[in-house]
Amino acid sequence: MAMTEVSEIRLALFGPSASGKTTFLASYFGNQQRNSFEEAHGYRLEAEDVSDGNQLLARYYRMEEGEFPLGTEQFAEYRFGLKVHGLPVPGLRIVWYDYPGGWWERTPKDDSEKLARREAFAKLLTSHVGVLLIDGMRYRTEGLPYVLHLLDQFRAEARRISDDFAAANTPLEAFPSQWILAISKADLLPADKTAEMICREIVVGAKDQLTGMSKAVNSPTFGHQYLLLSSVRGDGARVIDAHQYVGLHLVAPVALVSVLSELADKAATGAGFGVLKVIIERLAAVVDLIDTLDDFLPPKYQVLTKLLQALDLKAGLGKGAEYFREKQAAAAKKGKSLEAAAAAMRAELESPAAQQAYYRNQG
Amino acid sequence: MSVDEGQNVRLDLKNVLWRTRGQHWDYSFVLRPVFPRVDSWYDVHVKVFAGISPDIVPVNRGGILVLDSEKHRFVATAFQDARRRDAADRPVANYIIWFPSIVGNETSGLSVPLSWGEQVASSLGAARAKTFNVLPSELVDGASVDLEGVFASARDASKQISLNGGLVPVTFDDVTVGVEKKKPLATTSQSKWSMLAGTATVVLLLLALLWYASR
Repeated sequence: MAMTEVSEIRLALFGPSASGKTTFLASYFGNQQRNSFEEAHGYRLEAEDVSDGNQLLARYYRMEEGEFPLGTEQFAEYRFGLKVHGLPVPGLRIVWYDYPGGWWERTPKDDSEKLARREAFAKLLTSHVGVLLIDGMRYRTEGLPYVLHLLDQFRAEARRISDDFAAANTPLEAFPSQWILAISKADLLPADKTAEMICREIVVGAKDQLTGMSKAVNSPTFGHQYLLLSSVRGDGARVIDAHQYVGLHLVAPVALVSVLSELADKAATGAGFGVLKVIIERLAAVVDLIDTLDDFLPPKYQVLTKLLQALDLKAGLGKGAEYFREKQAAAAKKGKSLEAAAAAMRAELESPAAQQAYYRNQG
Repeated sequence: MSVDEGQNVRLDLKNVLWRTRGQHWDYSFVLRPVFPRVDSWYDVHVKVFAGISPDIVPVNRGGILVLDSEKHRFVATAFQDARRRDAADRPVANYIIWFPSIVGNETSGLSVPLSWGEQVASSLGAARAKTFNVLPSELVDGASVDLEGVFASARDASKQISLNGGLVPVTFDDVTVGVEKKKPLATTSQSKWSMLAGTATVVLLLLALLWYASR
């Protein structure tokens, strides 16, 4: 498959300073390019820009020595190819954006920094899925008041961005319609805490804030999806183990399921809620709509059509991750990179860890 | 730039750009050079420090800033603060660019101590201590702390510092950065009236001369 035909999913992390964005990206790439990861999962990530990859790896190696990375102070776009073992080309491209969290808290005084901030936010808005980071450590210590403040602050900034673009007569791309609330530093939460439990706490306790956010970003399903994320095992100040993580490799496949779930909602079936296993079973029952995906998908999501179709939700229900790993390897042997990448995504979605780490509320 | 009696390099703080962060506030410019004048320091900063990850040991690089047709040599440094950490217990980085005015051969290098940036930061330590712990809400326009004002006042009081320590040569061919020069300051209302008054005076004088000549 030519590089220009590779499906690309663009993901944007939203969160204030110190919420874990930079650590997430270093861990995301660092852990998923390791040989041990490729042996266990049958694929690896490759940075399209070598210097970007080296920069992320430098941060990752310091995390392996116990140091959290410095705060980001510039906008950066990272493009990763997901390469299934045995295939020379990626079956999927994943694009992440990183930027200074302080840009959410204060307008820069320097004119060129203001411009860089506006251009960065314009880029963030082209993403397919927005991931809002809720700092798990602060959630554990401060509880719901922290989440209420975060959502109020984020809503104010989302509206300020919209106003800023309108004042500059600059066309503003619509905010992503898909949002995942990711609880970062989840390793610091009690071991029995699931995404479903946190979902119920926030949906009930922050109802007004979630409604306000939904309007600010024009996404009726804002606040429906929750993902536990942990980039490393740490103690708040030091990295204890950079190789222990939760949910990193789930973000891309969950984002794809998210798009399909919204389609199911639009088709008025309301099928896509629950833990992942249940969502996939429900979506499989309405999978015929996949054939007419382009009728439902907004233009910027249509680049995902082939990959969504390749997920083949009807096939292999209840078969488990190993079944899809074998499908992945078989597709790779035939040189079918898209099918191999889709099978890799299905394998991640079927894993036992995924069932605890993700939950979608019915709304 | 000059060398003092002890053969130490003297650094003029008016020619320094410094970007760092506080415990709670994110990376910002705390000091901007009086000379050269540039509108877009952030663009310069991004280009000068591209690819550099600050560590405990300072990283130095030299280069040329091209402002329209003017060339300004600079030496830049990036390093982690030895003591301070931010609210998330992460290291704090300092990014400092100095524009020395060097008399002599354009291609000649400059020798500075490896720790020159730390010495600049240390010379403004009181300003740093005063502002490090302030909250972002105190830095909003019109609020209680003028971050750049605090550092500028300290700079104006200190003026120059003498750099100590073993010298390391810096050449100016590591990076070349081109940006637009700072636009001339917009004429203030007060100076506009001054100009008008001056023009009116000249016109009246000319009229008076013509009248006198016609008598």
